[in-house]
Amino acid sequence: MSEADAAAPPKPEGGDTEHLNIKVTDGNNEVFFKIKRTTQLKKLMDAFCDRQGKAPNSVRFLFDGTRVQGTDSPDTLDMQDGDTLEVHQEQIGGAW
Amino acid sequence: MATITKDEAASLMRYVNSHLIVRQLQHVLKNEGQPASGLKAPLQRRLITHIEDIVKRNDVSAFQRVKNLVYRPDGGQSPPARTVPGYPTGTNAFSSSVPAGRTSQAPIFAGASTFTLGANIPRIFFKESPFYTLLTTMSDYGRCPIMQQHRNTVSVTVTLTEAQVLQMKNDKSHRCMVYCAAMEPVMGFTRDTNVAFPHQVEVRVNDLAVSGLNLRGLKNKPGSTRPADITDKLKMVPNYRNEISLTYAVTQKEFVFMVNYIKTETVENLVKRLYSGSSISKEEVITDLVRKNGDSDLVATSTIMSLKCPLSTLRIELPVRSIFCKHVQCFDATSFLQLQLQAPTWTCPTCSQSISFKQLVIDRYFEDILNSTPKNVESVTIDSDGKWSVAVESSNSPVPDDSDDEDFKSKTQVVDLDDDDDSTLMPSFLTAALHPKEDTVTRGSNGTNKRPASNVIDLTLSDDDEPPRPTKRHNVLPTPSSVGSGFSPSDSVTQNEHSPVRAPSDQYSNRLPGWYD
Repeated sequence: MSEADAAAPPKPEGGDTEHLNIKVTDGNNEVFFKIKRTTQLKKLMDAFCDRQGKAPNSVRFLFDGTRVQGTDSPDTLDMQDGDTLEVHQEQIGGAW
Repeated sequence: MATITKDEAASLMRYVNSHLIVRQLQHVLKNEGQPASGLKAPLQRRLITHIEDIVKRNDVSAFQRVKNLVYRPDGGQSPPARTVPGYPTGTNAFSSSVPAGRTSQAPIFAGASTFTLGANIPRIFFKESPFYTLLTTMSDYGRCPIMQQHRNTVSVTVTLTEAQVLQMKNDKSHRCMVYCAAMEPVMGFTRDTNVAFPHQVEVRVNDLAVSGLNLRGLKNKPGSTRPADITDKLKMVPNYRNEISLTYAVTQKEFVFMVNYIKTETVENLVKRLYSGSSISKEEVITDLVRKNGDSDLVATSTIMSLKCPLSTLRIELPVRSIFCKHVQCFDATSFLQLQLQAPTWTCPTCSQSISFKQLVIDRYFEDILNSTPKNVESVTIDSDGKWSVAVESSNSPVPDDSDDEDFKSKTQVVDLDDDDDSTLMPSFLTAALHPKEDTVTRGSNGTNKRPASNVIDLTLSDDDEPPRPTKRHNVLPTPSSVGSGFSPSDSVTQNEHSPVRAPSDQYSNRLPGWYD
């Protein structure tokens, strides 16, 4: 964790250590967000849903294959500049 | 006393065999003290034997009794089918005592009690549709009572006036349609009643089934059913009583149907109406975008927006969305309306909010983007301040972009090729034969000389350039229209390829273009 945090700032696009750019894509459309490292991702998710006209509870956000909670922030997820969030349709289903 | 004439006995037996249904036979037999079990044929035989017995015994009163039972099997509910002339009045006392012992039967034909109750149904207002304008209601309400196990048929009659017949013959936009709605036990009908037919249903017009109707709509989407168009099956004669019947089975709700006289509207006209209708101005969209980016914590630096319609996946021609939609993504008016004509869900394809035709507006911002980009651009990047640029293909964008023009073709050249394709077919056709070979040659050389990654890129590039043309040509070749459009130098070739297709199908020649369209 701390090691990665230390590695992030010297990135070439850095200069701005407070913000990072994140791509959010649902397979059709992409939105690039510039977000503060400490901002809760709920804000980003709501903003994306709003723009795409999706209901927030109809989609799930995945970062590196794991689900993103609204309370997470780029810092807690160890996100780096240029990382991608995937948006998938929320589904209900059984395992049988 | 009188005797039983042979004619009377014969006509009675004929009536037994031709008119009585099983329940009536059983009823008569039971009242005569005969066993009432078995199939129809044995029942008939038994009753006939019984009558013959009576005739043999010359038992006038018994004969009269049976006769009454046979002709009035419902216990005197229906008027007697035949009065029996010339009978001694003395038998009246006897015959009148017979019906008294009967329990009245449940009506056998449920259809007999159809639209007599129409008076106590409130007027039904169906959900308005831009495609249909109701002119008049042409029939009574046909009430379909709940049939949990059996099937049932309910009929109404439609009589056309002379004016309507003329109008429908001359103007195909005037139609007769069957509207049907489910009765809600508590709420009654709202102003926006959905069209809904029983799940198992068949519509018949003058005893001819109307086929090709989809009366179920989309699953779990009430209101996605269209009214049933029966115009073509009606007899276009003024004052002819057309009988419209609905056969249905296994319903949990009561349904009511009627025939309405409708003026239909085409998708083209509706799109035209949208053209001249209201719109969202460019400035409005941009200020909205900027306002959304007011928070410094979170800024959408760029958004990739598709220029393709989410419904048809073709490039949008007239970008519309609802005035209540918050997203910038639009859809194509024609595609949307065509879809609504088939399955009227009336929900936004992007945000799934319900929208009505009146809420549809043109997005001038989107329109401007469409007008100022070449036809092959499929998506644009929108910056935080509302400025846009043609999207550069990103590494994992699922949409292959035609605009990667850095090392092979400039955008304008691509457009030129397209124009070539449309106007003059000849040069590309002549080169078509050569290209597959070229293609394999280049592919092979690339494979040996370059890394796998560059190989992949090369394939897409060549895909963009040559290989589509031969395949396109092959598709276009057999259509007579393209042949006619100017192939003079290569006529010999086309003739050779063409004759085997055309010769056997001369009688279908008028259908050929449609097949290849």
